[in-house]
Amino acid sequence: MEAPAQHQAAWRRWVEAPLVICGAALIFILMGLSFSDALLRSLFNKPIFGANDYAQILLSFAIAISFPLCVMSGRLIAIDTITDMMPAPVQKILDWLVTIMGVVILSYLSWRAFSNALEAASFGESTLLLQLPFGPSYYAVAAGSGLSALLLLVERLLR
Amino acid sequence: MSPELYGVLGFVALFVFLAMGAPVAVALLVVGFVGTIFLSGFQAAAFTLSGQVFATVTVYELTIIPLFILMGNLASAAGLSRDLFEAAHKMIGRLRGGLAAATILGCAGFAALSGSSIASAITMGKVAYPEMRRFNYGPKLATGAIAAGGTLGILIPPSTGFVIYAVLTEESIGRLFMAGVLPGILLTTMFLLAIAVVTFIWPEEGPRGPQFTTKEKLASLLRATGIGGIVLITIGGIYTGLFTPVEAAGVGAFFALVMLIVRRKCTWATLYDVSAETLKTTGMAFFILVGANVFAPFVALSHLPATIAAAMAGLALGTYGTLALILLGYVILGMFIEGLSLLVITLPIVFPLVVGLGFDPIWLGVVMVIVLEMGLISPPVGVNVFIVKSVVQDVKIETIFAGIMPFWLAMIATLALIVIFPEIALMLPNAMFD
Amino acid sequence: EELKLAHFMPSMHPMDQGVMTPLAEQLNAATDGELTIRIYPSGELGKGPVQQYKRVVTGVADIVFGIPEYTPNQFSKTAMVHIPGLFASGTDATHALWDNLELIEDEYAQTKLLGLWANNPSVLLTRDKPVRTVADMQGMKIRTPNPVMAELVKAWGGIPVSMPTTDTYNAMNTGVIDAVMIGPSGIRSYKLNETAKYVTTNIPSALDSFYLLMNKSSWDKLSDEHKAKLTDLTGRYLSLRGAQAFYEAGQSGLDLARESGVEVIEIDSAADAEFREKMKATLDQFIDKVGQEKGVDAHALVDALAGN
Ligand code: NA
Ligand code: NA
Repeated sequence: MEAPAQHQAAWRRWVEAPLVICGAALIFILMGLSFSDALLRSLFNKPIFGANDYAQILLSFAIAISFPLCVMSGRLIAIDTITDMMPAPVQKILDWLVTIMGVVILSYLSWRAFSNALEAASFGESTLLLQLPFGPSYYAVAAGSGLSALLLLVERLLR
Repeated sequence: MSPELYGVLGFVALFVFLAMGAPVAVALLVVGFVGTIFLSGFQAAAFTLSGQVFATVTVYELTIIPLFILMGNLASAAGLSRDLFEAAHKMIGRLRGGLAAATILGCAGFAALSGSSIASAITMGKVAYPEMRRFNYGPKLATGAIAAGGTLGILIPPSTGFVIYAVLTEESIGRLFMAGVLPGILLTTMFLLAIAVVTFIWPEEGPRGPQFTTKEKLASLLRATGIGGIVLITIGGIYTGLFTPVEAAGVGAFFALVMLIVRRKCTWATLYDVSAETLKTTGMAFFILVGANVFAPFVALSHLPATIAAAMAGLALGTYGTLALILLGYVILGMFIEGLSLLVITLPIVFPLVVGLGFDPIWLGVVMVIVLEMGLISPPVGVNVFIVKSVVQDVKIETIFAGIMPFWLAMIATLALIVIFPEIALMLPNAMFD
Repeated sequence: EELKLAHFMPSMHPMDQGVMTPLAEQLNAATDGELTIRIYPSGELGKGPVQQYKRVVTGVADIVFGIPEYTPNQFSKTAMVHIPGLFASGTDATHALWDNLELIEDEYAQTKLLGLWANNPSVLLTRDKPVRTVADMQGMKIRTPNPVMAELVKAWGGIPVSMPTTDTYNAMNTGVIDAVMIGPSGIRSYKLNETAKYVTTNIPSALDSFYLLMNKSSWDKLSDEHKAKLTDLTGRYLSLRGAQAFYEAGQSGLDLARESGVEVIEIDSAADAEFREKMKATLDQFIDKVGQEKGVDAHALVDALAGN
């Protein structure tokens, strides 16, 4: 799947910008956390206890945001060697088939993550040291994969 | 129907979906999910799907992926990577394939920082590819060198591959790390030889650059101290106990950001672009990891690895015959399954089998890691190749796989040398620990 | 009929070799192969320890091995057995759990409890300074496995550091940390004997507990005969074997340490008293907190477990 190289439609900018800004904040915080934990521990003997727990939560949110961005930029890796050799109508049918496959599995993943989010507290799912709840992270994964499914479909419809 | 048959059907389905042009992550997710329904029921499959995805995106050690990607992007934005290649170009660009050789050496250097092949391929891809294209290198050699060089990340310590091997087999992590050093150097050398051979046959893949004066060379070296400093701080910090290899990613990214600010290139637009690029590449890498981790339980449930191992043991091929067959099996499985998952699935069966044949367990760790590396760059599921593809948008994936071939042969040669001369792997750990 | 048993340790781990594989073999023999257990080690059916409880409740596996500590909200009463200094050995702690099962069994209501046991209290491996008294611990950066031990390390004057167990080898080697607090079986698993010069074995420290749980409907589906056979082979009997396997793995870890030239230190009773004195206030606070959150008399629970 190559990125549609032509015009960057305005709606894409509107979807992309808030995701990039939130994701950037998360990744730079992750960087700062990792750096300052190491520094405080080595030079001042004052490590941030449970820094790993915060990192786990930050990572889950950052990845959830990165999924739709990856889909929108056409970076879902696929092998097009064989499809490229087929006649155009066949290519189109196959493209629809694999798009539907992707939309279905990502939507279902989104739904599953959403139900997991509702149950996370009842299974006592939390980080080990600080017991930060995993519920919000499940919601993030649900939103990220749901948006990915939607974008996959929209991109196909626009092609 | 036996679980093994479901397993075979699963692999066939995976192959068909990939041939239809399905995204690799989607194909892995679908086959893993549907296969688990057949082998374990719907409820179990549903929980495995979301559970495995969640278990992947909350692994602390995987924070190195976004952070090393960030470091690479910040280093490019600050012009640090360009400096490195200017220097490499001026020093050895005169030689045929000199920049590709510099890429391999850069990868080996980066491998001493990073335990992950993915991080190596991404960082060096960002840095090296545009530069090689700028000097008219062929896309095959350029991308092949990056994808292959990236695999050095799990052979040269620190290495996630060795840590997982050690935990699965209770072997010494320290010994394994030491055992990776000489084979790492050997493989680096073999990669350099492969470049020499390729550019001897096809000189247009790696054209000679112009000659530079000593003054120009020195000036370019001086400018490259920026990135050299970051690498030194990061490696030095790891070896002096200032921070862990995982934290090194955060520290490296921080210093790359500092350089961006110092060089007055830190604008909001640059930060936006760097972040967008980092997130997109991160998403790509994690999509693959997530797919592989949903696929892996299905393979375990199919009992395929156990059945295959038992069948091999029954063939009575002799010591080296069995070893050769097992390694061949890994090369083939490695084409389809992400390496670390493969290790986790198969090692419990293969390890006792091979050690029972009388092979040294530390040596086996090194051999396994090299075979996994081969899997990382072989079609159709070559994770490192996908990573390079994500960084290098304008090259076709089959071009990269073609470019890999000489390096793949170099790996076979290295593997053969280590099988014939086990001392290459065992000399250092035996000297240091006994 | 085949039951799927999932765990996340390597198949060579003492818990697999000493508990799960023997259980599978015994059940196979007792039922003439009618009911078998297939073990999926190394997280083959799902990564990591955090979701093990959920996997057994939802039927991803029929039986799981897991660690209550990883879902602390679910097992806060069981976790009282971890209170540092209560037990000298995992076997004592395991008996205490089964003697007081009625006080904690509501935490296992969603599953069928097959086994619940403890390992031996953690030992302290130090990189280059021996620890014989509380004073020796001042300013030491110590990797601790859980929040309670972290508070205690602080109370003793050390600096608690958190990191994944797999990173401790490297961190000890390079000096990121000065010491690591870990169950003695972890010495061999993570080769910490290569990184330490001293190990102090009897600081009043926490131990860990472990469970083997079965999915409710998988249990209900078994015939009465198979239920009886499985009951015979599990429960307190299996749990004590778990504790014994950990004890042996711990001893073998300490032997390995001795062979590699690590000095094994036992603190004297005066030092022990000082450690206990310094940690008392912190522990009381922790027990109060759990009691308030769960609405139970946590001090009474601790007393019952301790046999007071
Ligand atoms: Na490395
Ligand atoms: Na492959």
